[in-house]
Amino acid sequence: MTTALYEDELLFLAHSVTLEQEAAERLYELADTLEVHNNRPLHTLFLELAQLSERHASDVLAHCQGRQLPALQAWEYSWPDAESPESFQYSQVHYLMSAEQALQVALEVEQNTLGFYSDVARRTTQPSLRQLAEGFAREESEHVKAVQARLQALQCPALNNLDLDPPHSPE
Amino acid sequence: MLKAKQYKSGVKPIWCPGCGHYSVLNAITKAFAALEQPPEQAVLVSGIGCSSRLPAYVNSYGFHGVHGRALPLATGLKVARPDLNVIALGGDGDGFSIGGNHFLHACRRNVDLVYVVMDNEVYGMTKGQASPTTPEHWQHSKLTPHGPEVRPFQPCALALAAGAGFIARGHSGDPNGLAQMLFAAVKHPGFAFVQVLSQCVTFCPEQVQWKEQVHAESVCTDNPAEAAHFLHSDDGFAKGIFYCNPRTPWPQPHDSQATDLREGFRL
Repeated sequence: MTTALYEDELLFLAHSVTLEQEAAERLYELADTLEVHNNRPLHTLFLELAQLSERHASDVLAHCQGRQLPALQAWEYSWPDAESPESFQYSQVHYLMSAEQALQVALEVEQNTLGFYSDVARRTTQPSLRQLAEGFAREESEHVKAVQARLQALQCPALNNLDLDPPHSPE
Repeated sequence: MLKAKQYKSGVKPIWCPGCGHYSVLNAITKAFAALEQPPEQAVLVSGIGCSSRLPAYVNSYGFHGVHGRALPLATGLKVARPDLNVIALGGDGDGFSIGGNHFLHACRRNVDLVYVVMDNEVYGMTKGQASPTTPEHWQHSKLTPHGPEVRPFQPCALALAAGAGFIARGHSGDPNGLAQMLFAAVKHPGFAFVQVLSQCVTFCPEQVQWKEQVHAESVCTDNPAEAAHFLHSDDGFAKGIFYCNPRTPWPQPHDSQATDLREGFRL
């Protein structure tokens, strides 16, 4: 990641807003996809997760009031990976996905985000930015705990994360 | 100025969950946001196949054409309306088999448009038959139980040989990088070809591993011999802009043939 992210509070906030907004948008998109494929339980779960993400995005936006954030193109963000850390990757989803599998991915992306904020908090030399990143990291650790609690409540056996349903090939 | 999500039409895609084409849709909307593209000045033209459904999902004009004919449609449209930003798109079967000849001549003709091929190496819509880019020994179709047993097309090398001035390859696992590539392709004067490795999780679930295999390469050159050397030694998983050599697009504003065509088709 670019070193500017560790020193520039407005740049960090721009990343944080996009991170949360993209997470919510992706979850709404996945909810739509699973609705189209008639996986109603997952549609509902993704909607719930999307609404939570949207609330997180509003919380982050509240920190930005009255401040002019830099306008970045999609490829100008400095993420640890190809996409923002809280976004589900499309390839992590399939049409017979279970709630357990979805929550495992949700846990993974929440942990990625916690890692992102913790990394900034650890590496910055700016006290105000450290305080902000530590605050976001604390919030993310609450999100991690919430997803873990939902997973535990399911009390399911070990998961096979593959779509075992073979494609229909009539020829 | 619109945000990327405002370039989505609101029609819910019916692609399989996990399909790479969602990512291409995201990349296109992000590129449009970066270009500050007025929706009414953009047209997406497609052929037939899973990927060719994409125009319905974008807030712009769209034309879902016939199989393999996205490029002739797009060419005609651009000649008639040079003010529009025309993007043709489709899949590997549509583009390299049914529309293979159009692909070669679109590269040669150099009309100012972008051609995006979402390459998943399979005919997904018709339930998983081998396409022109299917690996030689892929044995998952009952139609080709021993694999296609012929070498797959090399789309980027073909584009270079046929005269394309902009050649790039992206991956659906990196929609932001792909958005940047599409931004550059739209800015390129003349025909720009972008191959996107876009996984089909239903018929080729092994393609999920592509994210481990792709590697970014900074090899962009305007020298066709250097580009040819790279593309013929490439493992098929390099991503980046490989070749950028702008030449005068056809038609020019005062080209009499194009002017006659425009007059003839005036509504």
